[in-house]
Amino acid sequence: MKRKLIYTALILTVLAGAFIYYQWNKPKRTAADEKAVAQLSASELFSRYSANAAEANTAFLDKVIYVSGTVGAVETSANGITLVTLNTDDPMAAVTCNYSLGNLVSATVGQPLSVKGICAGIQGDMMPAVILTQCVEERP
Amino acid sequence: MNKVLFTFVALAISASALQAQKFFTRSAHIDFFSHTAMEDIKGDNNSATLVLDAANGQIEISCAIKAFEFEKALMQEHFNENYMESNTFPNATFKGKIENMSSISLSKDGSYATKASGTMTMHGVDKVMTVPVTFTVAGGKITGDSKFAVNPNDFKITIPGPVRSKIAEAIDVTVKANLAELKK
Repeated sequence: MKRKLIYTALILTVLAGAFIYYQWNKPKRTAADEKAVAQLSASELFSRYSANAAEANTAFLDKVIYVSGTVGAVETSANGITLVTLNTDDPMAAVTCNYSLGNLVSATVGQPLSVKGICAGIQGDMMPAVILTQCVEERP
Repeated sequence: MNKVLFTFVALAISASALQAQKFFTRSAHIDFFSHTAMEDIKGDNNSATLVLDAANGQIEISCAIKAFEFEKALMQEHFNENYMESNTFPNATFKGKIENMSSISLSKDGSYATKASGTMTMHGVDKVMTVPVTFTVAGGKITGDSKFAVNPNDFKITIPGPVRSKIAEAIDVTVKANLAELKK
């Protein structure tokens, strides 16, 4: 009886250890692995946020979405990460795509681009931007 | 004499017109660093927006909390779910004014150290703050840098007991932005 108890305790400890190890080292979430829950243009995405940010967050925040638009700019942050800006109907507003996985194939200013990314919400008042993270390019 | 006066006035007007411009970036980098004996935690945001109105010194820096990246997926989860509650408070913004903006010429090479005073809004809390800012102009490129400390308590960010010693009381925040002129 005592042996059984010891064995059970040992197995539980190993399982707990394995669980903790997995949690600590679990892979980061990327847009590549998931299906988009919505497909819309950069202008539409900004319109949704501009009309009702709370409602737009319920629909898109933390979710993988598929966004198409015209490339307004391709920049590099001070940290070396590539950001692609998609234009919207509002000249002050844009959708900013984080290519932190570094897998941007091609983005030319003025050309169309389709992106799958995780929506991180909208930021800024003077020049609003809807942010997408972990972006990957995807053909429609 | 009239010619000299005219040239002077023309130059003065064009100089002030140059100053009356907006500068911005959508790829400002913000990182925060927490150092304790137990662990170093660093989060990076590469898509912060910074807008500067050189006419009046008005400055706005805004970032999405969910766009901060960490070494470990678990750290990012804790940061968003437990500390920042980013589903409820999805971004952090600083709105303020650069001191002595009129004495800073962003069209002339040089390094200009100044301050920005305003309100930081984070985790649903508004806090009046003054942070140091340095503008560096070199070869037509303008960068803005700022480094300051933030106390999580000031923004009602509660760090649970067991991990309290893992998070520093003063978190170092660094902002670095490459600014471009906003062309209308």
